[in-house]
Amino acid sequence: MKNTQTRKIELVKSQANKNIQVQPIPVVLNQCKRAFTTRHVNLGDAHTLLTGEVKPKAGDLVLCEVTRLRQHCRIEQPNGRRSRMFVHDKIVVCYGNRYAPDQFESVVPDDLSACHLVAGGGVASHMRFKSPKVKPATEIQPLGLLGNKHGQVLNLNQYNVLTPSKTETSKNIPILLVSGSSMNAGKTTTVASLIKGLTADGFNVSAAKVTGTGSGGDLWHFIDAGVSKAIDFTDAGLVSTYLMSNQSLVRLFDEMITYLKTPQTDVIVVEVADGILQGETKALLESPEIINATTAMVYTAGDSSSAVYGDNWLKSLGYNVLGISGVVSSNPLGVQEVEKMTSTPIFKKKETVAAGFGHQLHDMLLELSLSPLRVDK
Amino acid sequence: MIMQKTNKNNPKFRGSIKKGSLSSCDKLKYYYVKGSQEITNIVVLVHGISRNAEEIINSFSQQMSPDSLLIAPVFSKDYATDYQRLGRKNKGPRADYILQAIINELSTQYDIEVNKINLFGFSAGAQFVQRYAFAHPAQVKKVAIVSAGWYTMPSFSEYYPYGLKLRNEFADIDFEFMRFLRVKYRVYVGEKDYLRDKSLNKSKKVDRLQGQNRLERAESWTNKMNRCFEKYAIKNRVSLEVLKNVTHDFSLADSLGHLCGKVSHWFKQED
Repeated sequence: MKNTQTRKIELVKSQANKNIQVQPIPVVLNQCKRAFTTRHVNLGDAHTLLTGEVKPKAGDLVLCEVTRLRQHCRIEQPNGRRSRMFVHDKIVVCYGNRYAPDQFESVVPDDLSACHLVAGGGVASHMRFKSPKVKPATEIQPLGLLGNKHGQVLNLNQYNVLTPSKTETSKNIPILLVSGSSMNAGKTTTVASLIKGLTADGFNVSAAKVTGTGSGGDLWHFIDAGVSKAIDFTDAGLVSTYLMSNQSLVRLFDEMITYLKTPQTDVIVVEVADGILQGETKALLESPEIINATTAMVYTAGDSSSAVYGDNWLKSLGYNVLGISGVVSSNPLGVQEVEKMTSTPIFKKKETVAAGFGHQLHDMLLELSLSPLRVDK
Repeated sequence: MIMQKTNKNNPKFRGSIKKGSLSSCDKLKYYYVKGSQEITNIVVLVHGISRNAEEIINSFSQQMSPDSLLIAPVFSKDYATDYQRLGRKNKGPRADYILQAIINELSTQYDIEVNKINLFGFSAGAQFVQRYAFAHPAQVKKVAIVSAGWYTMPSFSEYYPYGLKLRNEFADIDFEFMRFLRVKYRVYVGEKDYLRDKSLNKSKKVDRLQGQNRLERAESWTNKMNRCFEKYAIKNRVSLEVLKNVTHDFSLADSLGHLCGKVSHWFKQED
């Protein structure tokens, strides 16, 4: 269900005690650098700038000024171009939470004070932890939340574009889930290879990224591999999924699958971001609704021990783990170690894109989808 | 919404004064006159605390060239309460944002491409234009400061609005000497504008730093600015013109001192 709730913020005098100012926007928004996360927003809806004692929420649109360039020197635009930023540039981004062990952990701040650009896709947030692998986050100064004519804050949740297909289908469409041991375990590469393998063999594939932080990189990767439809949580009006309740995530998963189920679709591939031990990912994978909806799983791992651990854990939950892939699959010794410990086959990138792999995978998925596993709540 | 007002009795009249309200906030009104030719000159006219925007734009419209767009925003008493000081944090909306929004709206509406604006301000409006030029020098060409009650001095040793040292008044303003000293300024003040009237800032600090009345304060600011140009070796100079027999009154400044004609002529001059 779309969340179309908005927060009404009255003009200055009517809420003088809150000290919120509703004022005109001093810049032409179309001339500002606009982030990927805001791509579904009609900037023509933005007429006011809300400043003062406003408490931002995840998904709120915010006009910011770049004050110090650090980790992210570029901002990804709606069309995917990574535009260089300069100090004093005005950017249109969204507030959001981020969990990325290789970069930052950050949360939506309580006010409009200076904060950070924690993702090139356009996420304004307060950085709490950073990985030693990266520089501190780029510093930005929020100038105000973008509001409509009536002073109501514009939020991404008003721009959910996942309207289900008008033609309902009774077709049995298998859902292949891809999860991983951690960030950068090779999930997106694996998803793209599986897509390539399937589409090269003539299947119509749709893909979704159900969790993570708003950025186009993975979606472009899916599209380049040949999917007919690629969506992520930003299409559902969310800037990121960190700190969301499991109930909401399950609903999001369901919404995305409903959207992708069209008569033309043969296979739906869904990527779950981060590692299986990350709070939201773990809870989502443990949900009976997800286990029951999923036909099979391909698990990606960074090394052999995490491959064996994850394979066992996912099987214990009831998933049909079809294969192990990712970084470990490109390491011959790692492959040997895994093969000694589990009967789950290793999917190497080369094999997944080879002629006939798509047919083989589709046959397996179809067979599994005809005898689905049921896990009780 | 735009209402049109014409002044057919005026033989020098070159355009009709229109009244508009900002599409994003209809309580923000403004007057404007657009010349018949392609616009190359945007002139912003800022009223004092009497909010005589219509009177000012009417006077200027008689001098305007057909390639000019005159804009006179109305900073209302109940909304833009701190407009002279640009609208500091928690003291009302940002008046500079309001002006920028009006300019953007009209530029889009009439497909105008002008990089820099000319600013005219009377009394409290003069304070606004002076501070606006300091805050946004890249957008400003020339500034006519008329009968300002007091000034922001070009010095980082005093806190804003007396000087340039900022606490947290604005999220996005940095005062940069090397930029705002490039803007052209002219100061005008009435010869008889020496009364310490009720609208004058009579704080001890301003008295001590800038002088007892508008005449003395205009001189102080002009001198200080000119010393800055020398210090930073910038070829620029603020000139102070004292308008004979003029008190603190816009219509007198125009009728006796030919203020609008002088300013319009200066704005059109190529430097």
